[in-house]
Amino acid sequence: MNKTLRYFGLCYLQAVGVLAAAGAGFAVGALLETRNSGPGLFSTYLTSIPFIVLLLSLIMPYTMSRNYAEEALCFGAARREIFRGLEAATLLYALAMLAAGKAGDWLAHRLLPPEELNFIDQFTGSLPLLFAVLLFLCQLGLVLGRAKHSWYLVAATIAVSMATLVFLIVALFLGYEEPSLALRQARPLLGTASLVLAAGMCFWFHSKVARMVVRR
Amino acid sequence: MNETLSDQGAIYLQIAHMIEDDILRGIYREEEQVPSTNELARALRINPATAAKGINLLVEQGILYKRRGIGMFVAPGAGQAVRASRQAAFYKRFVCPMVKEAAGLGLTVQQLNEMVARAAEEGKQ
Amino acid sequence: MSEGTLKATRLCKSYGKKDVLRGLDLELLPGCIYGLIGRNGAGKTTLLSILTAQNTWDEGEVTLDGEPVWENRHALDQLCFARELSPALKTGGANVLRVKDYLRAASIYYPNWDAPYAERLLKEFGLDKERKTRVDKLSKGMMSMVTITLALASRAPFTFLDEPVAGLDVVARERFYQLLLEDYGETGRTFVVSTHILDETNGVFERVVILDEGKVLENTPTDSLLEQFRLVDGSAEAVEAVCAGLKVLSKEHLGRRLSCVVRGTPEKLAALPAELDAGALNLQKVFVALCGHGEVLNHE
Repeated sequence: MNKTLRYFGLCYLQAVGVLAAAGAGFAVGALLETRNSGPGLFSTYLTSIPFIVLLLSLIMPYTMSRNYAEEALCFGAARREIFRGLEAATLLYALAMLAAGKAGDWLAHRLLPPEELNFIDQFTGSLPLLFAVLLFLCQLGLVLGRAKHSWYLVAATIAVSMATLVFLIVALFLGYEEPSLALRQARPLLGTASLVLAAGMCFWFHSKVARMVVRR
Repeated sequence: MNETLSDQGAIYLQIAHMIEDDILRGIYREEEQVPSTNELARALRINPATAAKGINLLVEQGILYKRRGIGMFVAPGAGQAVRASRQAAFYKRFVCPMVKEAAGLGLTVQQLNEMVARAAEEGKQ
Repeated sequence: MSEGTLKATRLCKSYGKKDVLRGLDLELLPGCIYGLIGRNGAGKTTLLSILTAQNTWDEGEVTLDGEPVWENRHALDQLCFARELSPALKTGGANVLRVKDYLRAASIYYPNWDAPYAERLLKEFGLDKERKTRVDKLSKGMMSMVTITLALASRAPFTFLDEPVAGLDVVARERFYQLLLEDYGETGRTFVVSTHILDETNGVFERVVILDEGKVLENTPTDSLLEQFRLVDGSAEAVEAVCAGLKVLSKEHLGRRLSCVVRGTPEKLAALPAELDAGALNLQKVFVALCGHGEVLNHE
């Protein structure tokens, strides 16, 4: 167990570094917006850069973990250990993301006038957790070598990421000037739905995994 | 694998043959130590287990014997034993093919004997 | 150094409709250098990955000292499978790990990891400066050398190398076998080297395992195998007569001349007339004689 945490530790430290960069980007973007005293294309881009960096910080641990997990298997790590290592590290990462998101959200609320708050707080909700959990599930599927299941999960993650990205971009342009009521009302629903979905998949896959590892 | 060994056929036999050759040529005399398994393996760049097999074959045949804690030695009478077995094999390995080849070339037994005598003469000089 | 026996019983594995291993039985004795040979697609890599619990299988079992290896930390600690590094991951995407990441992983996961030895090997291979290089940027030869370093320095009681000399030139290949023998001389651990480049190898492999069509065709000391084969060459009638009591594996006619590869006990082969006996075969020729049937191109 120690071995795997040590092994994955480096991987996730790198990812958390990217996360910190995203948080810093958020703060810089928000500050510049206040200085500019009014929204403009320039400040829009500046606040969307942290979004992109944040998304990258979701993809990066996924690709890195996949890489690390495959290689750990090659070095004779037991799958059970790899899962637990991935689990622990991913949960820590999700919490870190949540904290960063909340901090960014708080900062934005402090610095920006209410009417200029765009969908920043969308990000600070359940979505980071959803991504993190889906990442973890993909990793499980891949490490198990049950290719069928893992491809469904990869597809699900990509679909959700793409959908959210599109949603955010659209919302960014649509809702920047005047966030529509419908979108505002949909937010808590989105958050709850994604949490439930994530928890459900987690539970289902975890029980399947436990069976697969114990068999043989 | 060293250049003195061929990759054809069992290597342990080649090793045994090599040591027998050295005994015949007087490189190792009776009661002299022969290289150890590890030395052979290192020099010939082969698996020590194969070297050991070759040496053990000679031990079984009574050509070598083991002195505990020291190594492998040429057994007394080994020279004669090797010579005897080589002489027995000589007929089949060298003489028969030579006779067949000569017959194939149309040489008579007398011509063959003359050639053998001539070669022996040249060998003495 | 190795204690237990690694045993595979009735292993079956298929990838979709393709049967790769069909009821394979294999017992690996400790303290021996094995050569695992087989054509491309014979299942060498699959077998090695199953023996080290890195791949699942459909039927049968793999045990070390009687205990199953699957998810067994005690067993996994004794096994090292140094597979070919690849620039791409099995699951897609590029392998962005660096040489130093592999060294770090090895030091974490191999209980007997010998770091000074690894350093010496890296220096000798000239890879000392390539530590920070990503795996997908290494040449094939360099990847082979990293694999070899990991395998040798792991000092694992059972070490498996999959095609370690692929991508190495002749000089590097010879050096590899020297290093292997040196390590074996020091530690006496079990090595299983899968390869299909067979020159320079019969002095190295104490035993050879031949894989053919998903099963073990031969598992025998190399020398014993080589003693059973001979090339017989001469006029067609003479050769046919002499081969009567022996197993003929291949025949080649050139006009009225016939060349055969025959198999028999050493005693029967010793009885062959000297003018027809064209000599013993090397491991490569024996392998071709045994497994050279079927399609020329065997796909993985």
